[in-house]
Amino acid sequence: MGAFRYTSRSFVRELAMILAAMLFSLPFYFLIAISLKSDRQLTREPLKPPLADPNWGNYADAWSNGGTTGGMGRAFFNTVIITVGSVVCLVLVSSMTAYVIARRTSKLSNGLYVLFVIGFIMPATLGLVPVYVVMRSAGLLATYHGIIILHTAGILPFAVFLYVGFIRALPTEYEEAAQVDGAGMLRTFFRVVIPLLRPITTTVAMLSGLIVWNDFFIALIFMSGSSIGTLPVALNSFVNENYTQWNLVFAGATIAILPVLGVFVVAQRQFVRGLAGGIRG
Amino acid sequence: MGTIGIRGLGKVYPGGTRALRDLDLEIADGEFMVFVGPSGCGKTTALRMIAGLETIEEGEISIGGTVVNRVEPRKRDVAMVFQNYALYPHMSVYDNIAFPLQCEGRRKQEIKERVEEAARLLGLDELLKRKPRALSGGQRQRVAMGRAIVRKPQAFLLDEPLSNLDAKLRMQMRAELSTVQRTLGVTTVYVTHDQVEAMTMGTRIAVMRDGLLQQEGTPELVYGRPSNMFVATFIGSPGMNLLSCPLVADGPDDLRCVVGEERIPAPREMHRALERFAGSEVVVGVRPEKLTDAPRAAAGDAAGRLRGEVTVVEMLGHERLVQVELPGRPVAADPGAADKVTVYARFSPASPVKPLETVAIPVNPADLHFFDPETGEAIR
Repeated sequence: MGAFRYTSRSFVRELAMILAAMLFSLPFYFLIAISLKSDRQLTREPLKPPLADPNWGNYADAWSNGGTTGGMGRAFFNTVIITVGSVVCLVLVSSMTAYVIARRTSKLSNGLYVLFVIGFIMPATLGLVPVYVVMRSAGLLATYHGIIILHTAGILPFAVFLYVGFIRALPTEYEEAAQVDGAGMLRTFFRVVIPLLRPITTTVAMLSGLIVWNDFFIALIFMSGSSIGTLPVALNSFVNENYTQWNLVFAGATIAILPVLGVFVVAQRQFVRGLAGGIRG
Repeated sequence: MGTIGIRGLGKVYPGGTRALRDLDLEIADGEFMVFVGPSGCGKTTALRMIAGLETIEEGEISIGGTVVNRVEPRKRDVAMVFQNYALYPHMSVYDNIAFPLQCEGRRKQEIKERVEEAARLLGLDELLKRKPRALSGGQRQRVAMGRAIVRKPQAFLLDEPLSNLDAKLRMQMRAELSTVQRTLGVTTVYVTHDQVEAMTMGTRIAVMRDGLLQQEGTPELVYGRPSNMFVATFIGSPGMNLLSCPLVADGPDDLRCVVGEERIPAPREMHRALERFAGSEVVVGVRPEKLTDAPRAAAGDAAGRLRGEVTVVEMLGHERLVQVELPGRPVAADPGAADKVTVYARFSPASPVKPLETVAIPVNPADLHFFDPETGEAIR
């Protein structure tokens, strides 16, 4: 029939949404466009898309030369280890902690929950100096496990807060069924509860992964002078006091955001469901 | 032996709500016991205490002769079906049924054989690979039952397992559950608020209210000889008609209940028990199926009559359910309330009865039940 599918209202609404989407896409356009320009193109026509002669070499340069030691390739590897390690530890510790807090109705568990909420509210930078001193005396500075512990502990209150909210809304029947079926506490947790927590686990993993992946400050302070540089620190090394290679910075930034983008695209639905809460059974 | 002993069982929840009071019951091996009562009567609490999902602070529960007060649920050797089935949503039907056996550490081959056996019994063979969300309500119910029977436990505990099904499926599943239970011969405790389920499925019924056991016995006993007014009105659909009326002595050995103009004789064998109520009020009960449009002669020589005005006639196909307003007092009515009481009667579908007509329904004295208006207990 070919009828116009919009009403005047829906047309205006959709147009506004397209414009907003374009506005949000603009930084990505500059990111990609500049990352593909040569130094000359960058100075002569910084905003024009480099369609005719994209300079893919910037990516190779950024990958091998960024950072103080080992280039961005090494930094990428470090960031993956630290992010995966932190996320795995965080998910395990926070889900177990939250499970006990949510399911036990004692005063102790309520008190613990309040402690975690306080930890969630307090700015992490307040404890920076004492944490640094403790980590130094424990020999945890500039080590993978040191930074993983630090990130896990830092994000734990936030993750516990999210998990507790989700678990409290979860019917206890599944766990009770598992108990009557003969499962012990650990089997109940790992075989029944953890799979039920998948939506919120995706949310926690993605949010915390993003925090750790993008972290610049903690990596800079607690890993300075070591070979374990992370992507944001490596990116920072392109920025020089006298001269900044913006095309390499942008190529490096593109490399840094691609994995995050990929994970979000794959796990988008779970992520949203985790925030919305609920189990389909 | 799957006997279950409940002695002096009580439960007070944090906050002071008393859910159960002094429950005593012995459930024999292989018996199908139904706990029935309205919401909040304590039936589910009692079941959960048997399962070990609620702590026991008052009384004692034994399963198979062993006191299990301090025994964890997983070690009680009972299987439970929950109201919402509680099927693990991330597991396939096979894994759901296999889960209890995996917990017992059985070998893979044995698990496979037993799951398939249970699936065959319940007609789930074709569904083993599906996830619970891809099943209908009836299929989910069967999977939940499969998870329970695969372990061959000492007892099944079923918590309103049919309440989420539509009426037709519920009737079908009622029969299937009864058949499975009879086939396996496993002691079963079944909780429901539906008196039809209780009557049709149970070999014995325990009627509960406000945490107290009101009466226990076979369905025939509970229906035919209710121990108090609550049981009389709760069991049966519609429940027993109750009306408060004066009991008068019309002569030696002649006690009669006065309902409007009518004086209905009390059965001779009840005279001794009723004597102390002569001259005062008594609650009279009569089942709707005893009030019919059959000729008076069918109700016996001594029959009295209940005369009143028809208010509603519902055609149910096999009968007409007739509401009749009588000149009597409803039970526990305010002193100032109108002296009208509505009773249900079951007329034949061919009956020409219409609303606003006056009918005189014959009533056989032997069909009357009498209750103490003060305590609500049956007078015997």
